Amino acid sequence: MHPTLFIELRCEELPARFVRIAETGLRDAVLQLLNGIAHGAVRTWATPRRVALAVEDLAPARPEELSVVTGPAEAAAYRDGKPTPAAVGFAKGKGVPVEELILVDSPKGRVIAAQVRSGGQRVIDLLAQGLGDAILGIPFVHTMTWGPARWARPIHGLVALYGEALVPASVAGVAAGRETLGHRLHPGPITISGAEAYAAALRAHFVIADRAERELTIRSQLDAAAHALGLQVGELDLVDEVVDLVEWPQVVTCAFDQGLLHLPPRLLVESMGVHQRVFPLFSGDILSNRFLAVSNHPFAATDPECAATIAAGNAKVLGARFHDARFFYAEDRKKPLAVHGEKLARMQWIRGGGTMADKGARVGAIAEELAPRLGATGAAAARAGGLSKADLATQMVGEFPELQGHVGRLLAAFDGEPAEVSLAIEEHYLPRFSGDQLPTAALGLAVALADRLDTLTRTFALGLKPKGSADPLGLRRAAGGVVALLLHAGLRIELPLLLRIADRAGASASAGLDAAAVGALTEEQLAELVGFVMDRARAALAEPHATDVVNAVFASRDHDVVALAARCGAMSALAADPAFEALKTTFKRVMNITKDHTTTTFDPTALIEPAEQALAATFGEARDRARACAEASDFAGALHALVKLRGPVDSFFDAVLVMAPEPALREARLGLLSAIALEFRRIADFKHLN
Amino acid sequence: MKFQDLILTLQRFWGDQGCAVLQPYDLEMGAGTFHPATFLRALGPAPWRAAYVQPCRRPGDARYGENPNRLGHYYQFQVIMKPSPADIQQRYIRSLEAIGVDLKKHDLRFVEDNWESPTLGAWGLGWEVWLDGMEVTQFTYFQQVAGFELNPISAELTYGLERLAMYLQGVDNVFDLVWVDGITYRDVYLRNEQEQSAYNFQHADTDQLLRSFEGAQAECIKLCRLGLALPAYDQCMKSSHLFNLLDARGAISVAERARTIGRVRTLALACARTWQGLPVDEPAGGAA
Repeated sequence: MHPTLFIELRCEELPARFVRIAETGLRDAVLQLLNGIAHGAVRTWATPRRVALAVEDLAPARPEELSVVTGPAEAAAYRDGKPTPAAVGFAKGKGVPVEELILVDSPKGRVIAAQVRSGGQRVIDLLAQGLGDAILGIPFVHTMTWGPARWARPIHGLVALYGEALVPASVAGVAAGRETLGHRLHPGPITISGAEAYAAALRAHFVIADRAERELTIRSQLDAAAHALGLQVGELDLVDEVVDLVEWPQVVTCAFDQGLLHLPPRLLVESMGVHQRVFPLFSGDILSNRFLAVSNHPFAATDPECAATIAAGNAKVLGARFHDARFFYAEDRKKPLAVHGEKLARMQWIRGGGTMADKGARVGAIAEELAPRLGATGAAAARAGGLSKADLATQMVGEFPELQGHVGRLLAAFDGEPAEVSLAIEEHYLPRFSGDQLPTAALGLAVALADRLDTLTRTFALGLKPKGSADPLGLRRAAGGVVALLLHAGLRIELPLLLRIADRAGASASAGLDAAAVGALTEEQLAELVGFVMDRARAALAEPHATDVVNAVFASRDHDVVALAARCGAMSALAADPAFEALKTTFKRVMNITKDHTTTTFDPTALIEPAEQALAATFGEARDRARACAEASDFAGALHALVKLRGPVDSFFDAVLVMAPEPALREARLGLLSAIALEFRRIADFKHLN
Repeated sequence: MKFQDLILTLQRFWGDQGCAVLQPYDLEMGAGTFHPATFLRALGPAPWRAAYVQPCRRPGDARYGENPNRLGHYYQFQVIMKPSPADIQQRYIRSLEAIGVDLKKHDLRFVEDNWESPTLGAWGLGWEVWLDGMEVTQFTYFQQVAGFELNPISAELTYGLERLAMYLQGVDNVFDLVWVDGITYRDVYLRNEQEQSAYNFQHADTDQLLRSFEGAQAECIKLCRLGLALPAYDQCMKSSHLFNLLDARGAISVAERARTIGRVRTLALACARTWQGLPVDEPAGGAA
């Protein structure tokens, strides 16, 4: 058993989102440095103020290797038995004494050679020389300089031990030692004897070094505190961030002013999470005025005065944050949502794209047009679309932009709008990002789709297509949203048609509004936009499906996203079939042999062999069945019908020579195979499968 | 701790750390960072340490003195140290202890916050410092000012004095703060909040403000070309404040807003170049 390597790097508070990057980064950097050296298990620890690593059973040095390097010919290397300058130079270059050169036979005849040792570098030396740069090379998204170096935050301490031995490394001007510090309120110093004692030593100084353990601690404390109040904690996603904001988690129970509960609960819940990283408590679905803060305080558990101080502080922040909200919300409710919306006429959407009022009108018109296809009523869609942006003019949204849509919903409900309309006003913002929730009702779907189609058609009409990776108007996100919404709705429609419908409806709604917003898409812009959305569709489908499957399906060049997704699904299911390899071989052969053949019709009477006549007959049935299935969006069924042709196709290839010398026969055989290939291409072109 | 004792204690503390204790700059500004002692002195290689109170005007945040937490005029305590001392975080924590924050009772947290001022072409990395969940200080390692990469790096600390004092005094309304025995924040500033709010939101003459804005811009560039960085920068600060007034009056559309901020930034960059003896009309490292 070799000694264990232990490294701890101490710094000022890392951003929470960087703690794990630092943890894996340190591990990767050190293992890279020790590449080729045998070792046992690797452990890591991380808090906002430190990352640490242990490499167990680490061999002391890289293994040595001896290799023979050949040099000049013997004749050039020695004269009168003495080494020539060529030999001396060669030996020097290889780092061996000239008298240790040997003679070997090579394809070029007898030459001199050096026996060169490589490897053998000691762990201690590798770390002493390389650890500092390896640490500074950890890839963070943002780094800063503070004088001695550039890293995520200033570095203050380094412990580096190989067994008992101190590794003489340094980073950012900090030399390695054996001491570290604990929690700010109980710093030590702490002398570290090695990896085994590390976590316990830190625990005695109020630091839980293990990230997973901190997470468990937080979860169990949250549960216990909620339980003690007879309440429940809501979403726990925030735990992931809070874990990396503290070294010694201690949950504190807090309460805000009951009067704030009159505010929209979502405002309270989101602000608690986003701004304060605290956990709201619920009684069933009802928000309570109690909440839980995860402090970093060692004494909060034992000193009631300390806990009370922390709770009072957190409650005060919430009160201050919501004082304006209470006022704004009361003011906003004095006017109907539609009246707020009138102010949108003074709010620009994007340069040249008219005002937000214009946008709202277009969204209403497009939603009305799309509604019947989605199972919603046109009039409700027009109403919801027309009101969808009105809350942007409220004081509440001005103050809390994250509540856009939600405030609209609350005000619409307050005004007595139908429930489906107010719900659609909120849901039309979904999805806000890739993988986000989607609208739950058809009306929300219609308005959400209309909003994104409007954004895309108008921006492309204005020539604002994203260039490079920059996408300031969020058009990729809008296109991804269109794809997600179509898939969610199961709406079978060709994209060019859908975009043209949106374009026309939007343009007609713009008549009489800001003239700058008008201007239908040219054919060229439409084609560009179709390609832009198709790229997002391809990206979305490449997540659940293999790339070659997606390529095979997209080779058809049609633009019905829902059908494309279903075809990818059918292909992926087929690919899981044990017979798939054989199927692929057969039908790739069909695809390849017909690739230069342009017609997909054939004269069945020209076929003479039983095998080909049988194939022609089976094909007719398979084709009809496949088309009927595809018509009903059952692409698995269609594919199933077609792959049944494998036996007859194999028999066909065994029995006949496709490239028959007689032109009519050859044409008929190629035609038959082309017809089969065509049916496959309607689902997926096997040529693109790996 | 009374409001003025908070100021006096911070001044004494940072004075003892070797900072020059300055007095507020005599022009309107939106944040202590605008003070030439920070914006201009962060540039270039010369060491610099200063601490000062800076009254800040944010016309849009004014609430006629009716909101217990929001003010159109408030105080920041600003510290800048260049180069940033290795133990600046420790020194900051000691300053909290000096003003009476007992860390055995309070939860102190450094939460990532990357500061950026589009107006000044400046950014830095650091934290919001949280005391029991309340942001009491902005702690920034400046990385760039006016588009110039900084070397050495300055550490900038900005204490929100009213908020800190409210916490230390345990009051829920800023106007209840005790300034000194017998005088409250209300006595000093309530009427100012009321009247300035009326000006900011109702009576400021936007045409006149726009003309002043244009005038300050022209003057700033003229002075830069004459190599007079400090008077030029005064005009830059004025134009920034005029922009804030116009914005509070709703006289600047969303689209126009970004463009106007860009115009002020151009002035700030020109001043920064002039301050460093560089010709005015070349962009600063493409960062403009």
